[in-house]
Amino acid sequence: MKFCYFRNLPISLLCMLILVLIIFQVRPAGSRIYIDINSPLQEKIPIAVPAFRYEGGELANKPLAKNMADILSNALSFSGFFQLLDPAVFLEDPDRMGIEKEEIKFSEWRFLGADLLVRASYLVQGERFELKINLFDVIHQKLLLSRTYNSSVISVRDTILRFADELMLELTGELGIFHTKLAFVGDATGKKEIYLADFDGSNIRQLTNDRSMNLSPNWSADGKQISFVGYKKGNPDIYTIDPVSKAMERISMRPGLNIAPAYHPNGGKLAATLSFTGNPELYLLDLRGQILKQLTLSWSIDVSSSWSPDGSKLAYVSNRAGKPQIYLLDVDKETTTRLTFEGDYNTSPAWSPRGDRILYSGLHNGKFNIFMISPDGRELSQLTGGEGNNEDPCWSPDGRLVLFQSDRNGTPTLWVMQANGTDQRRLRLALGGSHAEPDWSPRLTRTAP
Amino acid sequence: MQKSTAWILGALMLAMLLVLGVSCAKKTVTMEAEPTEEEMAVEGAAAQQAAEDAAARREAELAKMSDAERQRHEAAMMAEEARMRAFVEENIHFDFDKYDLKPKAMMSLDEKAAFLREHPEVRVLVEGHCDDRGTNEYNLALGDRRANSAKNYLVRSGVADSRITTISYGEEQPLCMEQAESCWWKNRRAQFQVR
Repeated sequence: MKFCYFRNLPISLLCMLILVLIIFQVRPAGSRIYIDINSPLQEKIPIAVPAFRYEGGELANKPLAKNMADILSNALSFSGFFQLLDPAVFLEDPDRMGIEKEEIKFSEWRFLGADLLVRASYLVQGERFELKINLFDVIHQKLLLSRTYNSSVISVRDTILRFADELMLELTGELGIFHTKLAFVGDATGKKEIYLADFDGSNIRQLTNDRSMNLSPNWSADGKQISFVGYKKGNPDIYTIDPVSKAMERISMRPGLNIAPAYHPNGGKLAATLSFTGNPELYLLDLRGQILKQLTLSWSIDVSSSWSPDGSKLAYVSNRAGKPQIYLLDVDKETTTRLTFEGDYNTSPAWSPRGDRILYSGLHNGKFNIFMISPDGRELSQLTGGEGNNEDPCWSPDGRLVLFQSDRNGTPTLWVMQANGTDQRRLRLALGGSHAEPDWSPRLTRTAP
Repeated sequence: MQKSTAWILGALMLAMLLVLGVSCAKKTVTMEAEPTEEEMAVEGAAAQQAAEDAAARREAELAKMSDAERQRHEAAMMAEEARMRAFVEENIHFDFDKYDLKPKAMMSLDEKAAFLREHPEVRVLVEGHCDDRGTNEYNLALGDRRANSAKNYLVRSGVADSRITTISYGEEQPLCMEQAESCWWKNRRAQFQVR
């Protein structure tokens, strides 16, 4: 039983327990205790992932052993939960170590400081490979998770990431984010186009290629569509595209702006800013671009909306008080409240997957930085600072990571941090030029090639 | 677009020759609201032909004129040409995060409006631009408001609404790339294209 098991573990695993409790506990809206979700995560769990043991088959496949361990290590490290032990300090040759509980020398792993250990072995037969992976609790000498996979050699990475997702489910009660994708704008070709990458920036794929200008990619809640703004026809119009087939449709092409699309979490509609009346206002559109409802009516700019996870509210940017600030609109009640009061220029709101936080970028002392606030306007905190301009934040689907754009190294590129602002690192993207306007997909059931 | 603009300017030169009474043949270039690429190519070719014809006719007419007439004529031509260039090349500028027109911008727009009233065949595309501070989406909206500020002023100055279209490029087409106010100022602009 998961809870009983965690009770006797050291602090790092206790944190997991807290997290599990938080995830499973149903709380009334607006409750406060939730917030500390980030602080327990500061202590990372030490985990050892030795090279996978090669059980025979074609010898040419032996180098996979290290690659597979690296894929898993990199994914776990990316999640921000784990501290990966350096394989150079491992005491045994991974090829000689067994992978079953009786064969593991737990005291040695304990000595190295590992709380968790992954042991795996694999076999390659032609195009097929068989992988067995075990996850152990070193301290209590227990097998926590055991999985066997039988798949094609070309899907090695996908298989290992599946295990990583299940490992996260076992430890936190929620699947990992290892089957997600990032959409962003890149100008490597000299023109702004939409690109896709895996969660960690690998496997880059160019989605649009019309050499006009494509901006503001936004994933639908089911991950099957991306909406974006394209200038292909000489005006900023809203398009939708299937990220797998690349089938594209222009859905809103009214005179003036058709920008900032934001899919509703329940699907079937999106919010967008249109300016055919002469002023940029927010509208609710169906997926064919027909207006279902006008959401704002003012003399000011209303743009950049982000839905609350239940789809009842929108955080958006308005300059109705003279400067851009974040406002919240209750779509059914048609009531608007102002959220941000600190600073003269706050934009790009991003509502957290759990609904308890809103990220935005704000201008202070001439630099843009990322801030976090709760929807009731309290608990404002600054997540970035002192390093260039940091803008356009978005959440990982588990709400633990924040992806954003930063020019701290010169050209704007994508960076990732924990949701408490720690662990800021540049995303490794094998793509030149600048990278901007990231949007993180939900967990994907089908993966793009 | 630049090229076709050049030919349209050429066609305008022809129109001016007509105004000055040098020729009696009336030829105007009409423009569709949304010309396709093919139509633009055809228009471009027609404008090119017209400009070449005009140049040839101008040579012939100039040959017949007295020196004084020729000088007066050339001075008038150059002045008109300068007005056209100013129309396209002179941007109007805005303060950071603002779209209200500054006095200097209004003066510039007064000249543009006068030019447009005298040349009813000209259609205009007003582009709104921003500096690169702030978010992309907000700047797209800001650029839209800037373009519309300029358009509305021209309309109030007697230019038909239907002759002016707008587009916002937000922060996407800077004229200047440095991180300094002198550069940001250049980028915060409305820019005018003759269509």
